Amino acid sequence: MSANSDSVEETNALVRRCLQGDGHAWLQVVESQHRRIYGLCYRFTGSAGDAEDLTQDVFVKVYRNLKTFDVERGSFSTWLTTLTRNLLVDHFRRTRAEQTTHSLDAGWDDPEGVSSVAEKIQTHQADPLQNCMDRELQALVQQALLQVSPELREAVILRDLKDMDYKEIAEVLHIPEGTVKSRISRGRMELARLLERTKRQVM
Amino acid sequence: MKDHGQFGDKPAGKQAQSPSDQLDCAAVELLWVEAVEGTLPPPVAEKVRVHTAECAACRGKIFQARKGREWLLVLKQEPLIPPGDLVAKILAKTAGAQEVPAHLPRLTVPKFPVETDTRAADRYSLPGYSSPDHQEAAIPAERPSDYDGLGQRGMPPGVSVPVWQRPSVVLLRKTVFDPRMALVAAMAFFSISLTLNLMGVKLTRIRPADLKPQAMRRVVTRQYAQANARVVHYYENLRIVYEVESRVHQLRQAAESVPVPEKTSYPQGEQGAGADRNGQGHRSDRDKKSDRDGLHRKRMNVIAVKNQNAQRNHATPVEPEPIFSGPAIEAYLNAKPSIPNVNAVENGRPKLVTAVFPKCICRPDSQASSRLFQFACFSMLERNSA
Repeated sequence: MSANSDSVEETNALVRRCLQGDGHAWLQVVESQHRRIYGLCYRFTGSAGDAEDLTQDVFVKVYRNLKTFDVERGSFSTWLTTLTRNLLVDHFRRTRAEQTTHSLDAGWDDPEGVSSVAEKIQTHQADPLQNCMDRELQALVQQALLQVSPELREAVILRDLKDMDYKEIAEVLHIPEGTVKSRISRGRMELARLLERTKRQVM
Repeated sequence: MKDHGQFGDKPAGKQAQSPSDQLDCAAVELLWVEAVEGTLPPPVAEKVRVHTAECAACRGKIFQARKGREWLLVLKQEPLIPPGDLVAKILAKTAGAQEVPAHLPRLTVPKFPVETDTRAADRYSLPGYSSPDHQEAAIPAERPSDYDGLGQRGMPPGVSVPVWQRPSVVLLRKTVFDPRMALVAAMAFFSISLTLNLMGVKLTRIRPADLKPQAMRRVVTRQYAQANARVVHYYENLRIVYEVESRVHQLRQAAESVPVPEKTSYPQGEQGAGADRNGQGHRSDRDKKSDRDGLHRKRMNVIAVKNQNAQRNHATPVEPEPIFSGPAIEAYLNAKPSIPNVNAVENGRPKLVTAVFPKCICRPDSQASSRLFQFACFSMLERNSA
């Protein structure tokens, strides 16, 4: 808990420096947050290209609206997540028609965001077969996650993949904490149901 | 657990300390998340365990939610690696391209925007987040709204946007090149081309002079006449149509050839008396001759009246004069026509012929036409001699 509060304090200090015109502080903010934002965007959209574009959009928005953030009254991380979630909602509404049909570009996106073969090979696992199976399993879960409704999906992602607590999630999604819990439970059940169905089809 | 709201805004610990020992399904549903994650206090966890031991529905749902969470842990094991140049791209779009070398350098002084879009600030700021400068910030006129939906959302002024990402191109792509729009356009094109093809219009042969109203009217009239003639020609050449026409004509002529007055020309008493006298339906020669003379006179009277009516009213067709008229003779219908000496017998019984009319449809080279001609020849006023 203290480590978390220390991290919040460090980030808020960086934001203060950014507001004072420190370019290095802005670089540190981007480097410290871009992985989390990219992961959030990728898990929600399922597309590496969209995740990259959305991550850039998020930081451009942050750059422009950083003056509206009150350092003394909240967490920069929560504010950044709220902004990301709003952009994701916009992106979902904009691409809703395209999501009904399969894109011709499907399959060209690198699912994990790595572009070179060397980076694919380079992994912490020694067993290539196990590595391949893990990737296949991750692709299956990611595909099932994309089939969960967006309201449930965002709650599940924020809780289980981004480790945010219920209060922060409620703050980001602008819903009561009880609704957050309900959505998380229903999202998990929906994901399990989808994966069980996939498993029955495969087996 | 009556004091709980719909979504259980109260903490789980308070829920567990309620006086009721047993939890119902609605109360357990609020604790699913904590039960799956194992963060419930031990007393509450025990109550949930007792309830799920009895309630199969809640037990199944908690089991399913736990499995879903385990599946999600698979995604959490392997951290996502963003593209290596993502930070450079972000810095290029925010702090300026000229200040960012290729290998992510340190920035000296970033140029934060002085003017801030208050609408965007309201949209993205959480309740409680507000800047003192927020109210004084102005909205630049040239900057598009963050929620215009399409186009260069959030692009800084210095960054060039590719052509395919410009708002007009994106809007065109979203509307015109939408699959449904393309399908509608294709259907309309095929419908128009099919209609033109059926009308005989060829776009390659159209000249500017053909677009005049008079020329268009002439073309349409000619096309209509040709199409009409084609349809009539096809219809008339149908064998069944010809057969039906022939049959209708036969029936009409047969109906015309049996006038009502002639049936009443013979007094019922005489006919009945003759039949009664002979027993076999035969009459004497004197009676037959008187019948023939009376029949002929009545027939001539009918024709004269019809001619007079036709002269008064030109719309009424004039019935042609008979080729043969005179005293009734016996005709044999199975014999070849030999006008005026017609002898005909139908089913072994001779018929009385008083007139023969030249009504026929002449269609050469046709067996049916010869039959029609025979029928026309035998279109006579007749009466059974029975």
